[in-house]
Amino acid sequence: MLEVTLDKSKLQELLKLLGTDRRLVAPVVDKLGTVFSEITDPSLVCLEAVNTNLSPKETVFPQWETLYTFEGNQIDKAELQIEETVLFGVRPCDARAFELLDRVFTWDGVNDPYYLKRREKTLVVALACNAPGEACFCTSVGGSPASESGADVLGFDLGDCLLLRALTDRGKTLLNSVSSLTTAATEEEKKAAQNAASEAEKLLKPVAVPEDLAALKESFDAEMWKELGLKCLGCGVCAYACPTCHCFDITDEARKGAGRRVRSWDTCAFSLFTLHGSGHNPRTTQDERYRQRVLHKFLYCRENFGEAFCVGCGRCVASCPAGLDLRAVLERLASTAKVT
Amino acid sequence: MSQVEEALKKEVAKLFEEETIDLFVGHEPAGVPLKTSACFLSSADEAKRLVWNASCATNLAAYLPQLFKRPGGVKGEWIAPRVGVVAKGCDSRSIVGLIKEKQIPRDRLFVIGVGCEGMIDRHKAAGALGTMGLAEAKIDGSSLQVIGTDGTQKRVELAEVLADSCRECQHRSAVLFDVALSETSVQAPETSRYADVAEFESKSLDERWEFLVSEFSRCIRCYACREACPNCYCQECFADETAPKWLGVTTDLPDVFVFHLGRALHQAGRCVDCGACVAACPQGIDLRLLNQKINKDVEELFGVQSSLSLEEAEALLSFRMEDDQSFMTEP
Amino acid sequence: MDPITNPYVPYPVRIDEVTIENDERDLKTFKLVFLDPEHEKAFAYTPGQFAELSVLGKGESPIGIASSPTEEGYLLFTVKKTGVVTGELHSLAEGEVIGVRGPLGKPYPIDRMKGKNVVLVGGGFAFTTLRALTQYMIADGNRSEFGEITVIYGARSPGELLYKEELKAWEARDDLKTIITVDKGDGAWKGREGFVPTVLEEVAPSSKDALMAVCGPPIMIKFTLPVVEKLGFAPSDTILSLEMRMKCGIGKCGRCNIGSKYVCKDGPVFTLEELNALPAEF
Repeated sequence: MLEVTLDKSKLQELLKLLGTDRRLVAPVVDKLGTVFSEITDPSLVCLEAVNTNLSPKETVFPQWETLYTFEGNQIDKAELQIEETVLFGVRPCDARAFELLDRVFTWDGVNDPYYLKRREKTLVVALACNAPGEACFCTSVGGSPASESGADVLGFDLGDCLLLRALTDRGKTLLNSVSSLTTAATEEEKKAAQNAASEAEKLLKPVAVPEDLAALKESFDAEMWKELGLKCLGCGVCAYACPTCHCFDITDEARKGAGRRVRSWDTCAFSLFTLHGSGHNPRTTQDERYRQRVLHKFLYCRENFGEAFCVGCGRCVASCPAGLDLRAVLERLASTAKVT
Repeated sequence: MSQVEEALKKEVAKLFEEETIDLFVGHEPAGVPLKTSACFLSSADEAKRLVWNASCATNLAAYLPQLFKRPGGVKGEWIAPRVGVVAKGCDSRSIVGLIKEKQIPRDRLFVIGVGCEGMIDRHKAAGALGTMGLAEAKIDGSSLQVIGTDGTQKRVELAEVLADSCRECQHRSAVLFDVALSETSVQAPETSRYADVAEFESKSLDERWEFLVSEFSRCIRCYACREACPNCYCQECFADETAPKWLGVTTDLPDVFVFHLGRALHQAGRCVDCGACVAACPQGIDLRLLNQKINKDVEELFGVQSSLSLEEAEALLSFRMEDDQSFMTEP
Repeated sequence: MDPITNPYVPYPVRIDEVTIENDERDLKTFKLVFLDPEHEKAFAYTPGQFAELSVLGKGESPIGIASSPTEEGYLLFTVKKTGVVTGELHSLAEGEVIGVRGPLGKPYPIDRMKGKNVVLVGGGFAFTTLRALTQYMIADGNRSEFGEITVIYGARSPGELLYKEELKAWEARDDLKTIITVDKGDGAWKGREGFVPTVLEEVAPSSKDALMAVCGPPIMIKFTLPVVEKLGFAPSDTILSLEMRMKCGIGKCGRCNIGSKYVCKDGPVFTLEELNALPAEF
């Protein structure tokens, strides 16, 4: 396993190299915390925050994108062009989310070319966490502050240097391409990385996550959804901030016969999400919609993919304008007494 | 627990015991510091869940209209519940507005008015820690101690981290109430109102454009502003209509501006500057600038602030012969 | 953007013929012909499946395929004028080009039906995919694979009956039992009158070695299922086709789920047994 060390004084140079002939996307300071942004000036990169406000899923699944343009009834044949991209500074929870999204966008052998092309062109350099963020609970949902899932390279912040571990062949190639800046990692450094990871894990507050699928199925009829539905405002913040939410809408825009078909983020929390053309809506109340969100992530995705679609990043908890706390909902669902 | 909080819990328990109300909407602590969540109580026992402090920023009026709607599938006679709610100044103004716009019935509502010294903007409080997340916050007199997820501690003056809408607020006590637990102890600020708008107005057109672009290019079309706003109760928002289709779904500036400008115009003469939109926005966009600019225009043109009393006519819902018509142009 | 490799891109098709199906003129059957024979080859479908009809600039609509693959050279879709996309479709004339994306979804379990008696019960304009199934089963070379075939089809009034020509052709056949009914006849109607569930109970097809396919509006389903049960059809032998709001049609956009099943890819055809295991949210 290729592990190298980079002195932090060389970080700017590394970023410059990574961004040569490629797009470099990394966290920068924004009005609220940090946000992943395409950068040309590496000095703007800020790796201090535990995590960014919004997840990096935008890189492979943008807020909106053109599926194709058309004129009259002719669809433009031009294929999607994506630049080589390095996504730097992704936390292990967000990297793991990519692996989960991969499953949806290749499900049943039907491949989503837009997501897959972006995913293929994006090299993920993850950065392990030394401490949890505001509402983190990655270890409670099968992740960890040093998870290797979904990334090409995993970095560890050891204070004055970064240890970089290649996880895939692409990661190895990447690290080899910057070997002029790095040295082979020493046993001491490797141990320090290991320690940092286990220390970070200890700092996490565990959340009881429901595992019993039969009990979760029964919770469908529980009373608890009523008040949660009253609290929930039905906005898109949680789904949009979430690294694993992938629901989208497809709409057409045209003027004088020319236009485009776009897809854009959508959420089951919106009241119009499941509204039929006939006027019928299978989920007319917010408690039904909130229930859908939770059960989709923790029951239906487990049934379909074997894993819950939550990486414990805590963004939904931190950003919810209505003050809903998914951790509290999960604890209630996981309690051994019958869910009420 | 403050005096007001204690009085609130007692009052709510009493309202249930005396069977004055069927449901009470209040604030309870959320799972993260400096945030509360609306709670919906249905018995005196539950009154202990309530809190009242400088984190109760949510405008509870936004939750009221849905409580008075007949639930789907219910046939025959249905009587709306009697709902109690705790309201600070801005909340109570929203309630006045909603009553006048026939979204909530006055006679099924019991309002507990409380005075407000201003609500903390948790983004500002967290901002004191740079980009580090907020792990804990403690109010200590006139200052706030914030502790980051890495253990760093910082102390800031409460006045520095109050929400923008609270700094200029002129109506800190409830304007409509059935019972007033407290009045505000804070004087209306001496500073000129609409200071933020004046600052914007002093910019050149190019500077204004640059500022608006830098703010609104962050919009992700999550509609948190709309859902948190008590005035946005339309069954079908213009932004969601497909026939006609007024705007697209993208985060391109034209789509973003049509949404926000459209919404701001729909708020004209109605917005009470409660700051719910700003607090809800996950991107920290200065949304109230648009609303306040329009509020300022309405006040200058019609001499009326919105939703101060049930008796007063609203600027844009009524017509008087003496209304300013100078802005009208010849066709 | 190649429709063969990109599941979001529709195949271009020409509207070859438009048939107005009902008196109210809000139901039209579109006969669509592929512009590219490669596309036609790629669109190998089975009765019960649906496709997204695409009108560039307006959007897409998921519509059940009304034709059987045994009807070569074209596709039939019966569309009700409801909203933006279907409204635009209804305004289009023969010769115009639209798009079709598919075939999508799981079809009727035809292999299970082979060697069995098949009862088809349809109501209103939900009858479309049952037409596909019927045409498939009675096609030359296919008929002998199935036992007795009974079709019970009802509409609100005679004018609302779909596929009037096909119904006549079916009634003339002796290898097919066709029972047409209307809720209320007009002066000229000489046929049966009665709601579909009532007629089903009267006809009382045997459930022995039989499968039942039911397609109709929610109200009809509600009253038909108890009759189906009374007649002795097991939930695993009772087949339904569901509708849901859809966008991608390929199980990615997250919109059309009932529990862990997506109506677009795990359905729209479900057995009653499968449905009973899903949450009551449709």
